[in-house]
Amino acid sequence: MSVLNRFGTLIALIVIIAVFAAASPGGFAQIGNLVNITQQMSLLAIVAIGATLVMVLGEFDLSVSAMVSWGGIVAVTLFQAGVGTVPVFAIVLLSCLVIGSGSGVLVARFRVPSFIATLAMGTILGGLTFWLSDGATLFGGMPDGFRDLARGTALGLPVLTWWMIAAGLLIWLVLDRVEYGRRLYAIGGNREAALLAGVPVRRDSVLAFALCAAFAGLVGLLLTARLGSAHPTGGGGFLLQAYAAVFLGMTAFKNGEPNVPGTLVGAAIIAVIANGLTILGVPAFLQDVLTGAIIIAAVLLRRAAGRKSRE
Amino acid sequence: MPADTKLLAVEALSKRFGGVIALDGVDLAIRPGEVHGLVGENGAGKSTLIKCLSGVHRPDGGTMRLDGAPFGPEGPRDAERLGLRVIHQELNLVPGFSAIENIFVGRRYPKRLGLVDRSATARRVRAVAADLSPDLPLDRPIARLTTGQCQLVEILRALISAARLVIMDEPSASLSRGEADRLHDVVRRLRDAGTAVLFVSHRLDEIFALCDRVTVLRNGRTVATDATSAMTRDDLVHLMSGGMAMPGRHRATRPPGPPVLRVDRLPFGRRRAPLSLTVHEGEVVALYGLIGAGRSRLLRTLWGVGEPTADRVTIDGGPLSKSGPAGRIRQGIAFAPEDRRTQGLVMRHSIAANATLPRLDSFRGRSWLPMPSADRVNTFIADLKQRLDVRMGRASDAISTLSGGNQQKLMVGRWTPFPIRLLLLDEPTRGVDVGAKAELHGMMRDLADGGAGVLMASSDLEEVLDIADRILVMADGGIVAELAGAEADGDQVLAALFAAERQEPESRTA
Repeated sequence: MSVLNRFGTLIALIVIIAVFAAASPGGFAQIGNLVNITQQMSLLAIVAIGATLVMVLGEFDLSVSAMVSWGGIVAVTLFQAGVGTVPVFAIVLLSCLVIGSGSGVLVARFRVPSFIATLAMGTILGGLTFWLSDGATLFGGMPDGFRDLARGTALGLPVLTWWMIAAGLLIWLVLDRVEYGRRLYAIGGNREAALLAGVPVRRDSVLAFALCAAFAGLVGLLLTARLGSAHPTGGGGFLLQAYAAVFLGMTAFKNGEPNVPGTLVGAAIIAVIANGLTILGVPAFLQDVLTGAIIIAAVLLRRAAGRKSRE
Repeated sequence: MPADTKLLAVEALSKRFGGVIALDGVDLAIRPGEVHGLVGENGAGKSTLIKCLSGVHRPDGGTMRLDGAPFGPEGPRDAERLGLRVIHQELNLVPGFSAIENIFVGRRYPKRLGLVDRSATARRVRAVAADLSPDLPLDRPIARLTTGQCQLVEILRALISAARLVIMDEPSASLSRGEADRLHDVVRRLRDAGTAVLFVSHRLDEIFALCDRVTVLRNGRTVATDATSAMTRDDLVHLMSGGMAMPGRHRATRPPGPPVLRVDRLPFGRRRAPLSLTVHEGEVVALYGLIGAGRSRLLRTLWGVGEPTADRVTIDGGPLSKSGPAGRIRQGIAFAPEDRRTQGLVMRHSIAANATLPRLDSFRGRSWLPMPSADRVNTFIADLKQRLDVRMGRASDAISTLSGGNQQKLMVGRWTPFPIRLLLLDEPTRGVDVGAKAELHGMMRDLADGGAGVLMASSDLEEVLDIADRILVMADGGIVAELAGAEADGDQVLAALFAAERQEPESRTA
C-alpha cells in the first residue's frame, strides 16, 4: 500500500500509457507520437509549474488563463509597433511580475482570500486584454527568430519540450533545494509557525505570486510564437487543466504537498489521455468527460490510500 | 433535603496524558442546589476535571456518580442529556450568527409547518435572557458583540433548557463589573430553583460572595473541600499553593550581568499603561499571571509580531530591529511560542525541516548560494539529537512522530547551537513529561549561565518558583509585583496576583 500511496499517480500514468499502447500499438505507441506528447503537454506543464509555487503556499492563482492571453496580446501589439524580440520578452514578463505581485500583496498583506483576489485580478486583466486587442485575433509583425523559440527541434527533442524541462528543473531546484523553496513549504504547512520562526512570510508569498504570473506570461509568449497569432481568450483552457495537473501531482511523491515532479506527471496524464483518445477517434466532448472522471478517480484513490496508511 | 445527599459524587478520579499526570485522585461532592466553588492554581487539573465530567475525556481511574448511579458520559451530548451543562472558558460561537441563532446551534428549533418558527425561537431566548441580561442585543451578529456579551450568550445557551448541574469555567473572567453582578444574580436564582452550580473562578472575592462550599485542587488532587464561611482568603491561597517553596536547584550560580533586554515605559495592553522590565545577563526571569494577563502578548510584542515597540525596547543597549522576527534573530534573540502544534512547528514536515527553519541560512555549503547543504543539516541534527537527548528516528521522519516532550525540546533547542543573547519562552514546559521538563529547565539555565538572558512566561507556579531568579507578576496587561525567586514562596506570588485582581475590577470592563 505504501508504494501505491507514494507513487500512485506515477503508476496511474504508466497504466494509462500501457492501456493506450495496447489499444493502438501502431498509432499511440510510436516513439514519434510519444515525443509529440511531450510537446503537447509542455505549455500546460509550464503554467502548472508556476501554479505549483502558489499551491505550495496553500493558495490559488485563478488569473493564470487571463495572464497567458495577456502575454500573447501584449507581445503581438508590441511587435506590430516595431519592438524587438528581447524587449518584448522583457516587457511581457515584467508586466506579469508586477500584476502577480499585485495579487500577492492583496493576499499576503491585506489577507484577501487568494481565490477572490486572483479571480478579480484575472477579470481585470481579461478586460484590459480585450480592450488592447479590440476582441480580435492579432497576427503578423513577428520576427522569425521569435517564432523559432516555439517550433522545430533541438538535440532531437521539440523546442517546447526543452522549455518545459528548463522550467521544471529550475522550479524543482528552487522548491526542493533552495532556502526560498523550503520557506514556501513552511508557510504552506503552518503560516503562523513560519512567521514566528522568522520567515518573511509576506515577501516570500508575494514573490511566489509574481513568479506564477511570470510563468503564465512566458506561456503566453510561447503560445503566440507557436501559433503565429494571439487571441484575447487564447489562454482560456489552461486554468482548470493546470490545477488538475497540480492536484494530481500532489498525490505523487511528497506527503500530499504540491511538487514539481508530481505536477509534471499530472500534466503528462492529462496530455496522454487527450492524445490517446484522439488517436482512438473518441469525440472531443467525450474526451472532456473522461478526463474529468479520471482526475476524480485518481484523487479518490489517493484519499483511500492515505486513510489506510494513517490507520 | 438532608445535607449529605449528593447530586454528583466524584471519587479518586485519575487521568493521565502520555507521561503527564493531569488528575491524580480528585474527590468532589456537589449537593443538590448548592453553588460549589472550584479553585486551584493554573494546571492544578480544573480543566481536565471539567472535561471528564462533560464527557470530553474518559478518566483512567476512580468513580463518578450522578444521583447515586454510575455516571460516564460518552461525550458532551451525552452529558447534556444527563442534565449537565458546561459553559466553557473559550467561546465556541459562530461569528456571523446572532445570539439567538447561536443558542440554537445543535438544538432543535421550534417548528411550525415543518419550518423553523423564528418568532417562537426568539420568544424562548428572550424569556431566558430577560432574567440574565435584558439589554443583551440578541439579533446582532456575535462578531459585533464584546467579549463579555459573548460570554453571556454562552451562558444563555447553557440555560435555555433545564439543567441539573451547570458547570461554569471562569465565566466572569471577561465580564465587566455590572455584567458579573448580573451573572451572580443568575447563579443565585439557579440555586434557588434547585439547580447545582460548579463555579470555577480565579476571583477569590467572587468565590466567597457566591459559593456555599469550595473545593481546592493542587497538582491534580483534591486538597480540601469546606464551607466558605469556615475559611479565610489566606487559607484558600495557602491551600492552592501548598506553601510551595523550592530548593532552587536551577537558580543562578553567578550574579546577574549587565542588562540584555530593557523595556522602558512601553505603552502596553488594553489600557496602554506604561510597562517596564529588565532582563540581565545570566538571569531567568518569569512572567507569571492568569490567562489573559498579557504575558503571551508581551512576548509576541518583543518578538516583533504584536504591538509596536515604539523605540521603548533596547537589546544590549541598542535599538531593537524594526524588521520583525528575522531582525530579532539577527540580534541574537530567540523565541519559542506557547503552542507548538499551531504556532511552533509544521507538524507534517520533517524533523530536519523544522529544526533548521529559524536559522535556515546557516546551513549553506557556500555562503553566496542560498541552498542548505545536506551534510551540514545532517551534522546539525545529529548534534541536536545528542545534545538534547531527543528520542527520534531519522531526520526525514515527520516531527509529528515524536512525543510532545521531544517536540518541545527540539522547538526550544533548535536555537541553542547559535549564539543567543535573549531567549523568549512562552509556556516552555506545558504538556510535557517530568523528564523533558527537567531537561528544558537545564537548557534554560545553561543558556543563562552562558551569558544569555531568559524571559519566560509560565502558568506553572511550581516551575516559576523552581527556576526563576526573579518573578514578575502580571495582571491585566501590567506588571503588578516583582519578587526575588530565591526568596518567594507560592503564597506570596498568589497573594500578589489576587491583590492586583481585587484592586482593578473596573479595568476589566470589556
